[in-house]
Amino acid sequence: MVVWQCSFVSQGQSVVASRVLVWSGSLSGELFVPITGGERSGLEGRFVYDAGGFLFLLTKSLYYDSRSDYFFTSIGQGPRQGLLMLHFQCGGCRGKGLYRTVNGPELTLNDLGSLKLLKDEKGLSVLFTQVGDGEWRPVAVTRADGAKLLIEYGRDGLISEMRDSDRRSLVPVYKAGRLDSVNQTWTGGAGKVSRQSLME
Amino acid sequence: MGTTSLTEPQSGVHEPLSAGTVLQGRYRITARLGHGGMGAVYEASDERLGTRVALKQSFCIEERLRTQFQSEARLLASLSHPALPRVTDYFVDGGRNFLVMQFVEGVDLAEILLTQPGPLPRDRVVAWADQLLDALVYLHARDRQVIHRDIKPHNLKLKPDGNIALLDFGLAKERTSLSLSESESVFGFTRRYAPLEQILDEGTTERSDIYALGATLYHLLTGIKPPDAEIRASALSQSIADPLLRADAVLPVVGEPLATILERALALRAADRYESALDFRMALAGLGRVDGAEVFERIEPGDETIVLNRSRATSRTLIIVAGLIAVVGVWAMFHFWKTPADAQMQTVERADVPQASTGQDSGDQSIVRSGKGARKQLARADKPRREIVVRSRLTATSDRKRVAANHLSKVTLATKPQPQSKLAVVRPKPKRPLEIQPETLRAPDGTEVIKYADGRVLVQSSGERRGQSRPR
Repeated sequence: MVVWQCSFVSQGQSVVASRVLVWSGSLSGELFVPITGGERSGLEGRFVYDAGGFLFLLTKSLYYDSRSDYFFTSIGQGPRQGLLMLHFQCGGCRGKGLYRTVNGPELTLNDLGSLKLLKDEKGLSVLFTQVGDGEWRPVAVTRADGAKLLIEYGRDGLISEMRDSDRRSLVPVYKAGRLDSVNQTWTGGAGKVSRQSLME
Repeated sequence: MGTTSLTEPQSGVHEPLSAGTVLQGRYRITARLGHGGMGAVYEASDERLGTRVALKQSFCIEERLRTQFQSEARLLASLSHPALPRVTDYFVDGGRNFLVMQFVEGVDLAEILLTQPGPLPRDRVVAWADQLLDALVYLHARDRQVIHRDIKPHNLKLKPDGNIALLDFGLAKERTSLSLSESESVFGFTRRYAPLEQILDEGTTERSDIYALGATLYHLLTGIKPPDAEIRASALSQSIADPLLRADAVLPVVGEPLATILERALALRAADRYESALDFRMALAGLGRVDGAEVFERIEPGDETIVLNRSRATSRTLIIVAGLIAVVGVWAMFHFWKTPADAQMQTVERADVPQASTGQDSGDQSIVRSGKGARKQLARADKPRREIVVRSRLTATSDRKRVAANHLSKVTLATKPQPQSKLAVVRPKPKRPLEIQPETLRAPDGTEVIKYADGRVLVQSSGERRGQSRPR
């Protein structure tokens, strides 16, 4: 049995935590922090956003089925629960319009052509676009309190950087296509702080 | 580390054993690999032979199940196939049943899916499917037929030599043996990959393995687990669309032919699936035909198969398409505006390899034209230790029967060597590189998404200062 953990090593510290990382709501500290219980959850993404009732997976794509005219993506139902495939449908708005979830949490998806905007009733919004590997991936997540997470991609479709409106950032480091470590930078009481987290 | 020797039946046979425990005076447990309601799996060292082994412990203590366990152990010990771990021993110790198996090095595909979320490269998955179906044909064709009944990514191990192994025979059953229908592994099945008849405890056949393998391939190819068969059945009974989307609807690069094959393998009704693993394998062997031949990637020993960048398959396709468009565009430019001599040409000799192959390095794309110019193929640059093999398609019934008789060892027979021909690798060089301006998209809240032609996507919010370059 593989123990899904990563070791955080920096400034003489060594912290062991789940390798599923969640966008931190705290204004101080790192942009992404480990989520507890994620190691056995079936969350097939390293980076998630806890939207309250569900976990939004930042590494999951948005797909469109042209046959039945609906969008779908996967969300996590909780740190210890599985994934849910979320379907968005709209009646007769093929190609353009507002899609609504037919299962799971109540969300809407606005088809803006080259951008797709997902929203929930509490004020969360996620902006998608097509990235280098041809998949629709999230590029901006805005929380109800206005805090924003921006996600950038390299030419291979892998996340190249994430940063939020509090000037915190995370840069993934890939080794042979696999996530090897993340470098996080934020502003602490004593100034700018950087920390490298090794993914085992 | 404490050492315990188990010789007498003890209470708590459902408790997993701890590291250091020695069984039969021979097998020392070094780690627990898995633990479920029906059993546990350990890594152990065989201190007599000095080898690593996998020990599978069954928690079944009923006499009839114990008898069945022994019967299964003898059956499994008789199996020999490169994709199956060898069973070398079985014993009862301390009221517990144990199966001793070859320890297979490598990483299981569930771990790869977890660490590299999303779809895995299509060619690799098809190559693995070929090996797994070979193993299934072998199992299903035994006089005492063996149904695996728990095929899933977790039970597929990618070995260091790049080949795949099918693990977890704790559940494998002879046909007509007793049914165990637990909801989870280790010695149960896993719902998302299990066929309806197994979930409903209606008995399993070789078509049950076909469903489970289809579900596994679907997950590997799309990055999404297929929905539970019972949920699918429930939806269909209510005249709701099947929640299982076609694989090419989830991910177009899967392609319609492969998606159609998976759709049949994943049919809810067993009768609608492929009749046998052989038929399934033959269908997959028909993929990727190019002018009467099929192109497969052969996984060679030493290839870096553990490194599976999930984005490579899709990005490679895009690069090929983009490269094709670019080359055609540049060709048109040269054709109409320049003399043909402006195009830089290189000619390579097709050597003794009967297949179309190329050995360019580091991901360059080239168009390879045959001497007759009738066939154009995109040959992907590859590392020298890989090769692209063009194989003939077996269509004649006699061929199918012959292959079946040979347990499929020749299902992908190579074509006869073709006469040598010249291949022209055309690499036109535009004199002025094209500069494509990035596309800027603006969201309603002012967020700007900047998409570059090379695939990079940058984003800035309305609050960030325009034009200020950020440290990269």
